[in-house]
Amino acid sequence: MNFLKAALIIVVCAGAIAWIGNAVVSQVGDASLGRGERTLASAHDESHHHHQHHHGNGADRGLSELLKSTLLFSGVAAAVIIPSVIVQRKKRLR
Amino acid sequence: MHKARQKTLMNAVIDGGLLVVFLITTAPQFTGISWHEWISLALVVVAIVHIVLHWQWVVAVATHLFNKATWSSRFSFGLNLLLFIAFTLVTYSGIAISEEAMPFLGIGMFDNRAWRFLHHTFSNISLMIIAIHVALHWQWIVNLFRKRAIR
Repeated sequence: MNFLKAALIIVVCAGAIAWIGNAVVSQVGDASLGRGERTLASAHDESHHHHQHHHGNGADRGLSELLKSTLLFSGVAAAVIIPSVIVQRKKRLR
Repeated sequence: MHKARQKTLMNAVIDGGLLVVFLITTAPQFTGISWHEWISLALVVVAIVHIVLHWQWVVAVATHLFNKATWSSRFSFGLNLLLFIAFTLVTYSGIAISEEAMPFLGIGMFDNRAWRFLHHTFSNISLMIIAIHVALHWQWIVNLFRKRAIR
């Protein structure tokens, strides 16, 4: 029962955040980002063409996307972990 | 198996799985857009399970946020709150720009440039917050592997 209650609270909070996000985007987002609504097909085609032009075929693009994400993740994690490990070791040596 | 050890193992499997799958979903061209959307929807369910499993900690820190809680707990709570907001916005914007899953479920959404921009931005923000989140639990991860290696 507690689990269900927790899940319900999480979903309600997420719904509230999404509702606020939606309100903000409908007020500000489209105007500040320019042309507003475009068709799904045109956006997709443009992105597809852009990627093909710059980055080669689909499999390569997918791998390079995955590699970029993994590097970003590892870089940020390492930037937090390495200093804390060094500090801990120094404390232990003292 | 001892109950506490079982719980730790279950947390490790869920958390490790969440991380790997989240990394995969950040590369939609790697899986193809259809798999990206269905995997992401499954990821949302597992993320809710992850929070529910740590609900006691959430309630404990939230109730003592302004008096008894330690600064590290407060920082962790704030970071997790930011992650929750970013992840929610990634999910909602993903649903908004869905090309396969939502149309398949018969849910008509709105696709526009703003939501696409937000989806990419909050995906990167979530990835960075998750990296810090994992880094803050580094000692727990190291201990987990040490215990496994000793046994």
